[in-house]
Amino acid sequence: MIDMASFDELAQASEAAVTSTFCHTLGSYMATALEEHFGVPQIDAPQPYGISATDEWLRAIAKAVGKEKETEEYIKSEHERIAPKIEGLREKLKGLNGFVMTGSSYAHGLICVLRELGIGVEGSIVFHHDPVYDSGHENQNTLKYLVDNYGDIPHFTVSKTQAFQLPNILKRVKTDFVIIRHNGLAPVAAKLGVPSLAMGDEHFPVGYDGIIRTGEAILDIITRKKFNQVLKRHTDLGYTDWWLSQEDPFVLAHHPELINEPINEFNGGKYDGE
Amino acid sequence: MANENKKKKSSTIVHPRVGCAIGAAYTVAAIPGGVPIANCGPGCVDKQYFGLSFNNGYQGSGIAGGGDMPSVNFGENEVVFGGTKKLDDLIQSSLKIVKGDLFVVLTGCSGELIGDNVGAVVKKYQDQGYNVVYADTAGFKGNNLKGHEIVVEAIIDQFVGEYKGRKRKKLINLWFEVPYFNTNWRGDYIELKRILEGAGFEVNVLFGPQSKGISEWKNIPKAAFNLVVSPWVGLKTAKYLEKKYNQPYLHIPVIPVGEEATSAFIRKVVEFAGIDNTKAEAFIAQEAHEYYYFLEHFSDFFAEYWFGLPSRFATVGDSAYNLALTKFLADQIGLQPVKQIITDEPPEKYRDAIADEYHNLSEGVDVDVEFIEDGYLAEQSLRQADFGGSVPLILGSTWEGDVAREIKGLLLEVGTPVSEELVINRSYIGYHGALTLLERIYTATVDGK
Amino acid sequence: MPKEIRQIAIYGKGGIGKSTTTQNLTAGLVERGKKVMVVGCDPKADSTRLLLGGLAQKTVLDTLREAGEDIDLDDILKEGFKGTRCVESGGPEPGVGCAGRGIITSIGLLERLGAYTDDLDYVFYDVLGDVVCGGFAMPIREGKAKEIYIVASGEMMALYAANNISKGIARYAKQGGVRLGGIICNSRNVDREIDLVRAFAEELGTQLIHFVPRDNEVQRAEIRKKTVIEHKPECNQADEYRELARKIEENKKFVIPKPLTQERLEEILLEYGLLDALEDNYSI
Repeated sequence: MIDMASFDELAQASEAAVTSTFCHTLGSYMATALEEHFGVPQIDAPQPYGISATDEWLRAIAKAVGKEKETEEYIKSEHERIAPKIEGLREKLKGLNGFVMTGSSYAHGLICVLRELGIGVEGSIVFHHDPVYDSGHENQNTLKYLVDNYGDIPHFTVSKTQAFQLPNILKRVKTDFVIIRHNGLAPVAAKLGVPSLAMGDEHFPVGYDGIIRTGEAILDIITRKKFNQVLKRHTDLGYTDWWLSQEDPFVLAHHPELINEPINEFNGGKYDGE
Repeated sequence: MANENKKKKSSTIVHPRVGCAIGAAYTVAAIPGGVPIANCGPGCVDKQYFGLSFNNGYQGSGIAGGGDMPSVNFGENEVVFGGTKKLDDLIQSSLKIVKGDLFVVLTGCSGELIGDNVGAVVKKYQDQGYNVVYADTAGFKGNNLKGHEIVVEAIIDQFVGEYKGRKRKKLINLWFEVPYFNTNWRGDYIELKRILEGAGFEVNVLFGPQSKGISEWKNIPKAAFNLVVSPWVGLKTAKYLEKKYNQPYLHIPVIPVGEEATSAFIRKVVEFAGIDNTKAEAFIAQEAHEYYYFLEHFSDFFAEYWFGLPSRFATVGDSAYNLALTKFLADQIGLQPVKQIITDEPPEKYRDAIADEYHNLSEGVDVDVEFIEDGYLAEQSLRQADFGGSVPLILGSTWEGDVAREIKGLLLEVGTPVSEELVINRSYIGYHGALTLLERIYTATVDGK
Repeated sequence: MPKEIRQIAIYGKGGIGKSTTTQNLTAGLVERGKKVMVVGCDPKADSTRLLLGGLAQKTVLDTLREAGEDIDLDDILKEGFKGTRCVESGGPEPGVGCAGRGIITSIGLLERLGAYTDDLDYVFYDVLGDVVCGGFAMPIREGKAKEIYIVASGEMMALYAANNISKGIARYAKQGGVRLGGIICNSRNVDREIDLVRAFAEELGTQLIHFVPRDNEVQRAEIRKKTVIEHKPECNQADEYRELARKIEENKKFVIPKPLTQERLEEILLEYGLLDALEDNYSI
């Protein structure tokens, strides 16, 4: 609703039975406002990423609108429908590692989906972190849900990551692809040999089919890796050797005095020409 | 005609076909080893990237452009208290992290409004021998073509510096299309360089994949003369160089397209330079031979294919391509120009000369060119063009798409923005480019895309 | 070798008498045969009224707004008393726009139009009172004014302003070649004014270059839209301005000012400023 709703849809919003969002970072404000001002409850359930979360999410909605029975049947039939497909995907995606670079709550959900598909996630970047979302519900703590249900993530970074930090960040983890929603970062990852799923504003990892769609999308871009390897062999990132040798991507934040030392060995930015 | 336009000052536009002055960051990015440092608000350069490079043939941006450009991200704090400290930090860290030969600080609206003394900040680095220059490219000064000229002059002024040595007879500086803005610039530069080298010259192309980067810029003063191949962009630069290094310049307003124009072009430059023309003539002979081989084969199609060949055309776009392509199609192919609109806001003082060119395109061809920067008005004017009974052919930008659909015409995207074609290294000029252009136009007529 | 033009910027609290002082001392300089250009950097555009005999002048910014970039130097440069060249930058009306940016644009235009000719001996920039933003510091950027004089009086607010302005000067001085040449005291007949201002100047690291006494002759000349030297060349006040002109011409003391802390400034004011204290101590 946010972003694309028509005037009429907005007008009707307060008549809804429940509200749900697929990204608390952006949606919880509106949802809470609807709850507090118009009495439209937010559903108290995890976000619909991954199988069990989607189950619970559907059940919570069902309870609010009184359709528990139909929903249980739906859940059961969906499980049966998707099980073989997901198995198939898990087979093909086995051994792969992914890296997620998106907004906060969305990343948590996305990592759930990746892990559901059996893909390893050793690291991730989120651009900020909200410890509490607007409704204060326990279930809105998507990070907790992720860690409780799918395990910890060793290299989880919260920062306004800049393109030049990517080489150092990706050095720390094994990764075969990155998922990203904002522009500017994918080209750098590409030159490091890592293909990207540039998701933009799409929201296709949602729900049962979302898991399948995501898996298939990843399969598509994985083969693209060949192109990225060619780039990696032949293009220059454009960063100084000094920077590329840094282990800590955030060394400049930890040691700002480093900036003052003599600079840029690639010419020193100085001209020694004829 | 020109005066009417001036009084009618159109203050709003839709469907812009230019960027703002800070788009000249891409002029810097086009120099191999050039790193632009954007001293402006957070969204500014993103917009320029999308307008001039991404939605313009998906050209990409190289190492220092796109998402990788260092930017101050001027915020309210900087506006109130001054942004020079933040700029200083940024320059220092950029010098440390980014590999570059020449760093150019472009100051945008905010910094210029509050009067930040950027020169003092940059001078600190210049005094230590670093290649950092600054250019005042506030968006309110004008469009990206103006910014382009400002940046070029700043680099010459602060980086190239003084020179009193001898000149090299066969070395020329080429002042040509605006990088990124002229969508086919990369291929066009390659073709024009090839042509000039074939004629016996050594060329400082200054931008693009075949440029040697800052060493070429340093060699600018050694050139025998400056060659300006463009209706107006670059003239200011040439006059500046004339004063600074005592270099004459040759101004050729129409970019040569096709054999006759290109060969004439070569002969003109050779004569001006006063070099021996043996090499040039041999080159011309060779190129002409090849060109007419293809043209002859093409003529079968041209003679016999009847269905939907256009006979009248319109051009809507920047001065350089508008003039060059209109002349080629009118003079060499024999199509009738019926509506020519220039959208890149040439300064008043150049407009008469440009309009003159359109009166002399070819024997029996005389066109009144219009200078319209507002997309709404331009498209309105385009709608009124009389294409007779034939398929309308429009050479323009993505924005002309609406009108093209309405009048069931063929649109060829040749200028900013080009969002329905991907451009890598094609050219539409010179010997090779003319043939490519014919390919594109006539592919569209046989219903290709 | 081309002689370098002496470019001088005049700063000081609003209303302290910068324009009056600048124009009057300019008259003194042209009397000595110097070629001077006065550039008004104030939206009020009143920096050349006494030299031109009125406010008739079209400002640079107004001209730009109406005629576009295609203007001649003659459109904006007028000749006044004994050939002084006068330019007014102009700017927006109170409450709108951005005057600072106006100054930047205007001075830039002067450069492009070639106003800075070799035959000039002096260029004076008369700058609006409080240097509130980067634009008003344009005259002291590299390549422009190398000398600054601050006009002050013995009033507390004038000295406070002078001290504040010195902070800006110190910053630009450290980055480039501009220096403070001295304080010009435009007397307000404050108690022990000359001692106070001299002490202040010394504390700042500079000098009280001249003390201009208060004299109604100045007002009389102003009403007649003239400098004192033009209006009544033989009076005392005219000589004061001639003296000021001479001192500036011969000045060799240029420093980077050391702005005072608030406490120190108040101490000095207390030390010199209170007549009561003197009366208490007065004894024959």
